[in-house]
Amino acid sequence: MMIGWFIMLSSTLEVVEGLVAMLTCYLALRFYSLARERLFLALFTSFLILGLGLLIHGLAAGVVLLMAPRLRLPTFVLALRSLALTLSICEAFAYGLLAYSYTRYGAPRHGGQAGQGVLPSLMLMPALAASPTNSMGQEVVVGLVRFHPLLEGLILAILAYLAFKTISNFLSEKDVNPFLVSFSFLFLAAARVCFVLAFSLTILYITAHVLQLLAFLSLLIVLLRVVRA
Amino acid sequence: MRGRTARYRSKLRIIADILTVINEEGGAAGPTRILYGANLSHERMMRYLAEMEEKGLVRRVELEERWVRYEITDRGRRLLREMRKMEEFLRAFGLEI
Repeated sequence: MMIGWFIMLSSTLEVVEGLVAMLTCYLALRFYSLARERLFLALFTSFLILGLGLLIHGLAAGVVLLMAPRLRLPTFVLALRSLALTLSICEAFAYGLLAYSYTRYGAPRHGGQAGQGVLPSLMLMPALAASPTNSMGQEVVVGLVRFHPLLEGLILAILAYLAFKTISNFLSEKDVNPFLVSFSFLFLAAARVCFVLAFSLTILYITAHVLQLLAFLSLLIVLLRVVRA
Repeated sequence: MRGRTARYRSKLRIIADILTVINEEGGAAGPTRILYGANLSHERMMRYLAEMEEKGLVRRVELEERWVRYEITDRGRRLLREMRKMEEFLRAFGLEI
């Protein structure tokens, strides 16, 4: 029951977030097709990978959940762990590329618990197989939808850098769109802190997803404002 | 400093200025008109025009010996129309080209 609720929440929100990322990707592609500037290509690639990662994880995790009654527990756990790894790699690459874009094209300004990782989780599988699905511990459930706290920590470091850059931009520009983008990256970084801590305190997983959703909705408002400019 | 108090133009803004000059001249303009209209040095203007030609934003037309004009292409016109959105998008993220 707990697993189903968690994965369904995670999947639904990730699909919404993935769609926003794909919209950003489309806009960057449209600009690249006109200006042929590498920056737009980097933004397109970054948001494409992020969007695909979120959509694939969101949709596939939902499918795995629907098929859960027909799957053996080790297969179920392995499928979710593989999807979680795919999402983490996509996020790390996408945010990393975005951070690289800031080092290269940034506008000039004046002014855990490592023990709960892959191997321990895989070692847990026989124990999980021996117990009914609905008796899984809450911390184990988080481990099914998020791969490893260290990988989450790496993504957090990149997001902290992006939040710093976008907040600096807002302080320089003092306008609505830069504010919304800085708000978005600040919330993405805060959400990542909650994802890392959720490995120990499960309730933070919900907080993390709410923060991440707010971040993507903020980005969506920016996109709508840009399109209407 | 950027935005309303900008002291320099971004590359995107310079490209837009060049395209605007050509567009306002009826779709084609000579180097001298572009140079004055976009407020660029000759060397910089030629560098930008070469890059814009490579990206398909303008077309170089040689009318007679030593008489060259630059025509705006359809892509150039579309870029000019989308310019404001592009600038707003980049400004929101704090990025610049």
